[in-house]
Amino acid sequence: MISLMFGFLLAFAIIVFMANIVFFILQKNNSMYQTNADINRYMSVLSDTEDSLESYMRNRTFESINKFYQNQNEAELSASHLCSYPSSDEILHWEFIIRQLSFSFFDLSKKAVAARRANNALMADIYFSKSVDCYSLLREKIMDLNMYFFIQNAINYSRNQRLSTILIKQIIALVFIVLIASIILIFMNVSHTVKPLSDISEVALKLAQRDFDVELFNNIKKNEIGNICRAFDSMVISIREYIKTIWEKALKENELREREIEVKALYTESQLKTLQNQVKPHFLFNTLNTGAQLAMIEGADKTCYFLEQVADFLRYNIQHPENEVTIAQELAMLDSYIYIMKVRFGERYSFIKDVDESVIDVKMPDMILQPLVENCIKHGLADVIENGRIKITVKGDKEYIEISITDNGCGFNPHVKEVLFNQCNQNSHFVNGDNQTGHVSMGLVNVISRLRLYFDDKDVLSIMQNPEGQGTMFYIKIKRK
Amino acid sequence: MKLMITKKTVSVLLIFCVVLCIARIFVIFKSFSNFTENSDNLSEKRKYNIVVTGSSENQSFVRQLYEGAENISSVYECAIEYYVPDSKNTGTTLQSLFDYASFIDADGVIVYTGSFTGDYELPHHRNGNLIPMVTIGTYNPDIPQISYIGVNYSGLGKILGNELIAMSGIDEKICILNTKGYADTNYSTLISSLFYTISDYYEKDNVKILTIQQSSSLSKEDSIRQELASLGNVDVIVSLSEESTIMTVQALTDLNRSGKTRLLGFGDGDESRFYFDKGLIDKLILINPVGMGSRAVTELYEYLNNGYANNYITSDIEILRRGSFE
Repeated sequence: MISLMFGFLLAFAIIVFMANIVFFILQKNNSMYQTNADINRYMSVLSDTEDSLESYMRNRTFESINKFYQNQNEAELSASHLCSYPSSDEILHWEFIIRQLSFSFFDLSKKAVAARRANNALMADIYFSKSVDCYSLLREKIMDLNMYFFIQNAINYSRNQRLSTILIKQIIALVFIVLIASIILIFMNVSHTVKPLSDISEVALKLAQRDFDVELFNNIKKNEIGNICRAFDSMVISIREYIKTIWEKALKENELREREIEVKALYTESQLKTLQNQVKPHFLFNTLNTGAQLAMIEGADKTCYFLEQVADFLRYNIQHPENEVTIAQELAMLDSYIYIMKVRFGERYSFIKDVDESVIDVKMPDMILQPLVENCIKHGLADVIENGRIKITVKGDKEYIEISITDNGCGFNPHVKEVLFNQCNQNSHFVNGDNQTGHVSMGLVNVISRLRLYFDDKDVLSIMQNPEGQGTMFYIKIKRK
Repeated sequence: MKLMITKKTVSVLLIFCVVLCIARIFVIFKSFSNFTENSDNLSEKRKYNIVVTGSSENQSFVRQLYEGAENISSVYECAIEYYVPDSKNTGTTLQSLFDYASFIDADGVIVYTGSFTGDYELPHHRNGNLIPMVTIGTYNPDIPQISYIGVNYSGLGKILGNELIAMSGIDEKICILNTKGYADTNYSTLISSLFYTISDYYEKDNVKILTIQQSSSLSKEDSIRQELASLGNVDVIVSLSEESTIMTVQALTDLNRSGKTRLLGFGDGDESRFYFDKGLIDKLILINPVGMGSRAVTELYEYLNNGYANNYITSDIEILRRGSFE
């Protein structure tokens, strides 16, 4: 790309040069007739000399002779500027002849004046006559030369005028072309400068809009624009690499998290299965059925009913592969468990149920309520010999379903509660059964973990003091979907 | 419609502008060189100033002398000036020619003139020294010319006579044209010599001298035509000057006698040559004024540089002949 400065300098130089040519033409034309002017001036001086000579020869006055010498000196000075040697050039030779005639005229004039002053009339007349003849020839020569110059100058002037017109037209055309070329040059340079800036601006806008899929400039030019383009390319490459790194890192983290969740789920599943598989189902069922039948045969209705309840309880634990049941099913299973507990513990404990029938169709994970009731019996009411009370409440509205299991036992140790929830938060399933020493049961951790996973709510279950007095309340708050 | 100016279009436009600029600059330079051309004059300084002069009646001859002198002027470092006063100037005399040479303080004078009679103030420098002079035409022993270059008219008359005899029969009618009268000594010598040469060959009545006097009412050409018409049948015409030779050719053509009347003429000019080549002139006597002019410059140069020159030089005569004559 031609440098703009160089282009302007060149255009300026051309214009200045053209201006000089025009100036030269005008000057040359103006001085065209200078030769004629010079000749006329010389002719005038000679004429004055001759007139003063004639005047002196006629009148012989001091004034005329003074004037003669004055004019002659001036004429001699002018004549001395003429060509002083013969020449092959016609004009120069002409000048030489005029010079020779002039000096002959001056010589004869001086001789005539000298003769006149010496009162030598004869010689004065002879010299005067010769000087007049010489002057005639001189005058003729000067006029011929003047006419020649005039004709030549007229021809040259006419030719130069024509050439001047052509030159000036050419110069105007050249200036016009230079102007157009300058405009084109400016346009190219500005485009060359602005386009990269425009491209950079576009790229910057895309980057601001988080579109990093932009084309690199790959500008190798060693100017400011090139530097900016290369910096932009580096920046885009850096951003892309950074995004790639972050993306890969995020992918890895996601992968790890998914694996962790998967592992956790598997572990939980395996735990459940372990739970479910702790008792061999078929043998158990068969055994229980046999026992029930035996009891029936023996007429032990209570025993038969008891065994049936146990079988139901165990069936419930085993036959829910999807691990999802309704509240009604969970309460039914709880009834079976309560019956078993009542048989086992007699009147030691009382169970109160307050259930809103409108919400019992809501889904929830299985084996939630029973472990909580079990926990109340095992830990809350462990030291209660009589009047132990466990209340199960289920109620709901449009937004939430609230399930609470309360006991009037010793309450939940805050330290144990803290440990319990910490373990739930860490998804830790390392359990040792004694909550008095700060260890929590696997059942509670399992219940809380499954509730959280199912309802995706960390605060789905909370443990608090029984609002009706002493004891513990397990409070489950389920948000309706 | 949106105009799309591609980078290529702009580059092409720019290149086109650059080419136009170069072309324009070339034209400007060419015009400019023409503009300043007229000021270029190749001039050469010369050592001597020589004037070639003569009267207006001999203007054409003097012009040829000048041409001859000019041809070798560069060799002899001379600037040659041609000075023949205007024929309308009735005051022109030989003295005025000499005075001119004195006034311009010439280094040498080549003058073509007739005989000198009377006293003349010879051309001289301002310091009084005589200006070397070469005379052509008439030899004057009384004047201090450094050299004379001329035609031996007596010998020329003999040559003419012999050529005339060679181209005509004894019984043929001969007419000799004299357009300069008898005042010119050279011509008188020429005619006398010619007559003397042919007098024993032809019958007296067969040779006639026709003197053409220019009248106020008729031009020379008309006079010649009229005289030739009235002459009747002539076999050979002898013309003693180039001017009369050309006029005779034209008159014979007008009278429809070209080819019938033979012509022995004078002249070295282009027209004479042309007529000779056309076959309208049978023999042409050439006096070489150009050669004489060159010789004159040579003699002057020798005199100015070495102090000597040949006093008397006879110019060569050339005869052009066409065909043979029975």
